[in-house]
Amino acid sequence: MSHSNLEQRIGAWLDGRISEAESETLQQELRESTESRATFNKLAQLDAVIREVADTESVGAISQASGASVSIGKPSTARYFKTSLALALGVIVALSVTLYIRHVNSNRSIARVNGLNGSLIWIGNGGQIVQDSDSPQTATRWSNVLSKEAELPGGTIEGTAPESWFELEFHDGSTAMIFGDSILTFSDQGQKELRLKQGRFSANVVPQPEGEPMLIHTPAADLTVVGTQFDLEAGPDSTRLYVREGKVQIGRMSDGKTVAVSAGYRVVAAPGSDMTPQFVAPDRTWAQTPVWENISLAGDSNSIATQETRDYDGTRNLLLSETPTRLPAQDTGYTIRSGDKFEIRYVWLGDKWWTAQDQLAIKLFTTDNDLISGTRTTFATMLSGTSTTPTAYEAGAGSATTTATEAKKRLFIAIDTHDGGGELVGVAHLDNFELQVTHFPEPGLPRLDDFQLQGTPFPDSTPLPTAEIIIGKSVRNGDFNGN
Amino acid sequence: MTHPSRSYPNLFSYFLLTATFLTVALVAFEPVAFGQAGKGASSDDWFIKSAKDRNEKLQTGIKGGEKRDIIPSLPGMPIPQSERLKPPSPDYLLGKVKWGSGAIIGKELTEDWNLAPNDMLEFHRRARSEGFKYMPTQTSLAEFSYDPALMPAILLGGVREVKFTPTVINKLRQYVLDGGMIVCDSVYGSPWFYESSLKVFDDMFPESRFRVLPPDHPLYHIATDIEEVTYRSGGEGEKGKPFFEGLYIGSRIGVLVSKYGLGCGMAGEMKVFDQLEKKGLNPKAYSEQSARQIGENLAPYIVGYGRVGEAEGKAELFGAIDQNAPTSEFVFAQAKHNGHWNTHPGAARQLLTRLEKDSAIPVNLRRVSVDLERDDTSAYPFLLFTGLDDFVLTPRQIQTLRRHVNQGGTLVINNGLGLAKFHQAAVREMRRVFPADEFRLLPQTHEIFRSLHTITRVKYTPTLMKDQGDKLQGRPVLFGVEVAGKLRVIYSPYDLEGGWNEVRYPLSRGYQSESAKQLGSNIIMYAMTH
Repeated sequence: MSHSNLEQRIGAWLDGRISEAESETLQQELRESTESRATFNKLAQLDAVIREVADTESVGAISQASGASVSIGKPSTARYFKTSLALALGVIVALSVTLYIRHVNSNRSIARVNGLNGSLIWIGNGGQIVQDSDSPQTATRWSNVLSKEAELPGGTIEGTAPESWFELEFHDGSTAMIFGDSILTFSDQGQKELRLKQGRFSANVVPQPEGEPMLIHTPAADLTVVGTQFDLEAGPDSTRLYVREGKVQIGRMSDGKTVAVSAGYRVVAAPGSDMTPQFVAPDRTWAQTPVWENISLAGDSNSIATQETRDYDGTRNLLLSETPTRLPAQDTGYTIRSGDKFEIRYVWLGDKWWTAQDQLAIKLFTTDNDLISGTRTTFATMLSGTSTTPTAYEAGAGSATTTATEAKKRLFIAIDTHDGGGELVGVAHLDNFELQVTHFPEPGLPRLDDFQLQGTPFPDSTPLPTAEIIIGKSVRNGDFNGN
Repeated sequence: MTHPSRSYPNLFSYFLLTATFLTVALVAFEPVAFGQAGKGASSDDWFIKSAKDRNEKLQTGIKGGEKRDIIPSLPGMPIPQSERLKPPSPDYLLGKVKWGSGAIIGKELTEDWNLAPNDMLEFHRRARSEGFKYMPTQTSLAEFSYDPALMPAILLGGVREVKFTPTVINKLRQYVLDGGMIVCDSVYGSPWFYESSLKVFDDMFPESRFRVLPPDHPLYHIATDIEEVTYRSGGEGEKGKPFFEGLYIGSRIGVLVSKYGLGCGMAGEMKVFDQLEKKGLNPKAYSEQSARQIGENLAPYIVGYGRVGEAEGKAELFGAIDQNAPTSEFVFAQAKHNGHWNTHPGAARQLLTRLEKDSAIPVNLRRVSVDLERDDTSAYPFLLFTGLDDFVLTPRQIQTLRRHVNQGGTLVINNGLGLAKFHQAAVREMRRVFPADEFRLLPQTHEIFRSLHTITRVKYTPTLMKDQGDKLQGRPVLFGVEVAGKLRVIYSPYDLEGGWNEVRYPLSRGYQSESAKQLGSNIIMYAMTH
């Protein structure tokens, strides 16, 4: 693509005349080409200067305002010269005052970076692009690198990797976070206005001034927030909202239908959805979660074990964390036989702070006294592999075979995490866990299990071993929905 | 003087009050007034006679001087020639018992015991066509002999609540323990009769309890295979299967209760059910065809298991040494569990008597029952666990059995009568007791087959021989589990214990007497020496 073509498209972007598809292409090109970014910077700065001089409308952080031009008057006759001069002087004074106010405003920081991780791109008010610390840096007026504690004006933050996350705090104490591949544009010109173009977003909003609620726009819905805690997930056609505290109003873009969603409810705004808030059952503690227990030494039986938020199938899921405070485990009640083959299946999702290298680790173990509190000997660890679909649940599976060493001992299972990113803070979710065993007997004399009381007592060919479910669905609370 | 117009509102108020009170009372006591759905307000609602007495008499078919042989060969139980030398069997098989009260309803004498007056007539007519030359008879509770040798079984039919005096209760109990059988027919499926009969006999036999007969029970196969039945009324929940509850005494049914009416079906007089339904009642009964099929099986079952009852009902006689607390001699311990655990009374004594004769082992002939829930088994190195039907072990019972085996004791599990229900329960529950161990067939070279008698071939009961004899080829079938290299748990899927008793069990799947005794002796000898 030619240089002039690039300039034309940057110009179109700066003027707000660019389509979403073209914008995507341009952003991709900017990410990949240092030369293109230099061109962008040059044109963006030029555009800012022109707009300032021309006293154009402000360049909003959320939408690129349409350009405006200054009308230049024709030369007048001599009799109006003094009047014109006085008028010009007045205009210059007014322009200076305006420029000063704009300068002060545009230099105003509206939020601070609370934390960040992974590959991120931030585009400031002037169009400056700042990438994460792993990428080549371009100096900005605000900071040389996008880092914790950095002060930010309005702009666009984009997470470009599954493990990316970014948390900012507005000056009134409201916090907002994005996770994974998400794009958020934010501004605060007295009223906070955000646009979540895609991805996952979480906010804790302090009460906003009367008549100036926080406004959030997504491709499928508009939200009005007075003060609350909530989670959002935006896609091209739907927006999913879960309110933790307070109340949020959500309006569907396709038909304008609006509902108020209270704490503990969720709603999906999408064409054709019924927009009826669905109640989400309260989180359950370990003490309230049958069969499963937290065997972490630092475990707290009153901490959350299962929850419905970030659900797989509308029901509870198991909350996992890399922190040493939780290690879900179960005494299966099953006594191991030599020749047993154990198979597991589940679905899982890497969530907040989960890095691309982190994995789940399902461990089968025995103990020295056949009690779950005994000294553990892990005889099989089945890793989930790293996440391939970071924003959605994915299937996990594994198998392990026993030997005479484990035979006659009680089987225990733990659902652990396997750190790959070096930060022990990742959160994940697991649902619909199944553990089954198939016993492959050693050859020898006929077994009672194969004997038939009626018919042929000892069939020539014994049926293939069948799997027996140890944990699954409602059996031993495999779906985590047990009461 | 009261103004007339003023009295009208007062009268109206009284009317309203009365109507309201009556409505509330009616609603509150509606179940009492109209009865629970189909049950009737009282058992009297069911008190209808199904038909008139036909007053027919069956010919005895026995001429003067003719040798009486009124019992044909039973399935799975061929009668050898020597059997014909035994004393003649009784004239009667199933006597109808007069109980309850009577009333004249529509010029017809209606009595509790005789609501289906022709049921026994047809039962005996059909039994005779199969070769059972018994006569129908009736007897009052006062005149009844209570002797199974004279009357092997009695029929108790009706619709109203069953009640007996304490004297009758004691006599009926003794009659059943001596080998008699009581058949209770809830002739129209009246819940009043059905529930009260269960209660009366449950109370009468606290040592046993009613159990639903499994599909492979001899009652369903002794003459005809009854896999499926049809119901005239009710029975939707039975899915086409017969439903009987039995109270086991030993391996036989001492009391049989039919929740669904049999008598009208046997007699072919079903019109009464229309009358009952018109009254808003929900009768329950087998169809004519199914009732007759069941009747056809009932006769041989009473005959065959009457003999079993006679043998198992004999008092066990012990010597003075047996009354003493066991010291060094072998003690036969038997586990109590929540299934029917006392399957073959007297069998252990028969085996021990034989063992005493064949070996030098000092034997205590008294069998000791061990409650796995609370007793210590360490004093008994040999423990028999037997049953006829389903059972479930408690965690404590599982621990007791594990401890018994881990401490060097031997556990022998026996499938009494070789029924599928117990087999399934045994496989399931032993898996819970020994989850990591596999029961394997003991090879014919195993020492247990040489520990006292050298056993190379065994003889099976006729039913087992017929079904699986060609495949088993005379080999003894015992499964075992070794603990610390020694055989500590033995399971016999075919009945051993029945063979220890000197009686044949119709349709039993097990070993004939000599083979069973040899196997039993070898098992005990092995347990004593290992």
